[in-house]
Amino acid sequence: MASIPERPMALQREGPPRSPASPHSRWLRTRLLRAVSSVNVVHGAALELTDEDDGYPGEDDPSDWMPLHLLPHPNERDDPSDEDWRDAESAKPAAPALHEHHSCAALLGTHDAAREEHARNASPERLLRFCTELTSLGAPPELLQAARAAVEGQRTDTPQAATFPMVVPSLAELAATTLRDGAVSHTLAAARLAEDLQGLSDGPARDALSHELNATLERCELAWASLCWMLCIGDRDVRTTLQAVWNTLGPIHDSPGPEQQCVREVLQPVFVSLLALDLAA
Amino acid sequence: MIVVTGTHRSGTSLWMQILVAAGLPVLGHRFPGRFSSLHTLNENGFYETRLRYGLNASTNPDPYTGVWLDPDTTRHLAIKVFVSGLVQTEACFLDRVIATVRPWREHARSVQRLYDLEDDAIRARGGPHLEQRLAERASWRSLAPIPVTWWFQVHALVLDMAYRSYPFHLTTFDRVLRDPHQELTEVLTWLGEGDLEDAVAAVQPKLRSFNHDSTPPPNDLTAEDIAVMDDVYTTIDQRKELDTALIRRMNALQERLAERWPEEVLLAGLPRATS
Repeated sequence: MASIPERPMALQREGPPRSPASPHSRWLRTRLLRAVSSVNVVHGAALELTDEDDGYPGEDDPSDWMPLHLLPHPNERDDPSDEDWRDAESAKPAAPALHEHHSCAALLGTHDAAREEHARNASPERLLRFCTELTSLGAPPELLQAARAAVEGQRTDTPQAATFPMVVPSLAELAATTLRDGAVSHTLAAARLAEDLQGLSDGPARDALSHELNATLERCELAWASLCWMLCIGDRDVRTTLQAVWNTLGPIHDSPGPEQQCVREVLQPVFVSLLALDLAA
Repeated sequence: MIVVTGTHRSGTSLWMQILVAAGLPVLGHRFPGRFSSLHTLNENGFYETRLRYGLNASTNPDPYTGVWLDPDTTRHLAIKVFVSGLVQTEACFLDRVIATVRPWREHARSVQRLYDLEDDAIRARGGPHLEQRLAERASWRSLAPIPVTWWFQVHALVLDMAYRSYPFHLTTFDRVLRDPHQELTEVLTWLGEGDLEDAVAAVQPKLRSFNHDSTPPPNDLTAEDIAVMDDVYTTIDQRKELDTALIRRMNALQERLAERWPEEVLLAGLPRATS
C-alpha cells in the first residue's frame, strides 16, 4: 500500500504561469458561456414539448408567440420566389452545400472582409430567414422570442424588405450555418467592436458603437443558445457537422491577430463547452 | 484544465459556480440529466459530466459521442472531477487542481441525505426490478461507513498530490464560506485569472445545508482514528502545512482502516455518491 511521503507538505503548489485571456475576451466569453448554459432552459422546454405532445406549454396557438406579421405576407410580394414561399413544405429545394456558404477563412481574413461578411450575416433578411428556419424546426419559445427580437432590432436599425425563398433545412444544415454565419461571425464581430470601443472616448461615436456591440452580442447569444438546442434535440449528424465546420476555421495558433486571439480565448472554449453538452452526467 | 476536486458533498459544485461567476469557461452544466431531481442539494447547479470519475484513455474520447478533449486546447476550461476520478486523470490535464474537503461529520450527514434523495428519485421513476436495484445500492453503500469512505478519499487525495507534481490548492468548504474574499483572492491569483468580485458574489452561505454538529462517530472507529480525521481537517482549514508527524498518523490510520474494510472500497475508492 502506498504511503504519503513523510515530509512536510504545503497546501498549495505553484505551477507554470498560465496565459489568461485578455479582459475583453473574458468578458465576451462569460456572456457566451451563459448563453450556452441556457441549454437547461432550452432543453427543458424541448422536453416539455415532447411530454405534452401538442404544442408549447401554455401556448395554444403558435401565432401567439410567433410574430407571423414579421414575415412578409405572400400576397404582399410579387417576386418570383413567391412560389417557393407558398409551397415551402412541398418544394423543399435542396439546401445549399457547405462549400456554397461563405468560408470560415473569410471570417478570419482582413478586417474589412470580415466586417463585410458580418454585415451580410447580420442583415434583416438573414436574421428573418434564421427566425423562420427555427420556427419550421420547432424551436422552443425562448429561442423564437430572441430571434424575433433580433429581427426587430435590425429592422429598426436598417429598415428594408426581406425577400427570400422559404427553405426548410435539416437540423444539421441549420446547425452548420448557425455556427459559421451566426456564432462565429457575430462573436468575431463582437470582439472587434469591443476592441474598437476601448479606444473611444465618450461621445456619439462611442454611443453608436456601444449600441452596435449590444445588438451584436444579442445575436451572438441567440446563435450559441440555438446551437445548444440543436445539439440537444439532434442526432449525431449535428455534432459531426459542427465539428466539420469548426475544423474549417483552420490552424488557429498560426498568427497573433485579433481574430485568432478571439478564436483561441473565446470561440474555442465556448465551442468545447457546447460540444460537452453530450458529456452531461 | 482547471480541475475542481474533493470528497463528495464538499463544495465542488460551489467551486464550479464560483469559477463560472468569475468568467472562466467550464465543462458541464447546472442540472445535467437527472440532476434536476436533486436540485434541493445544490440550488445553483452541479456542473457534472461523465468525466467526473476520470479523464483518461477510457473516457477520452468519450465512448458515447466521440468527443475528444485535447490537453493543449482545453487549458482554459474548468471541470469537476471527484477524488476517485482525479487519481485516474492523466497528468497532462492537470494544469491546476483546486481541492476541497468538508468535516467528516457534515460529509456523512450530507451524503446520507443525497442517498435518500437518490432513492426517492429512483422510486419515483419506477421501472423493472425496482426493489432489487434499491437493495443493490444499499448493499454497496454498506461496504464501509460513510466516515471511512471520507477518510479513504482524503488520503487518496493527499497521496496523489504528494506523488504527482501538478499544481494544487487544497482548502476547505468552511474557508470559502467564512471568508470568501480572502480565499478567492488567493485562488484567483494562483490561477492568474478570474473576476474576484463576481466570484465572491457567487458564495451564498445561506445555501449551506449543515453546520458543525455532533454526529457520533461509528463504533468501529477508535478515538485516535477520529482524532486523526479531525486533525487533518483542522490543519487544512487553518492553512497550516501537513507536518511529518501528522502525515505519519495519516499513514498509520490508512493501514488500520485498509485492514478492516473491503478492498473494493479502497480500489474503487470510493463508492459513487451519484449514479
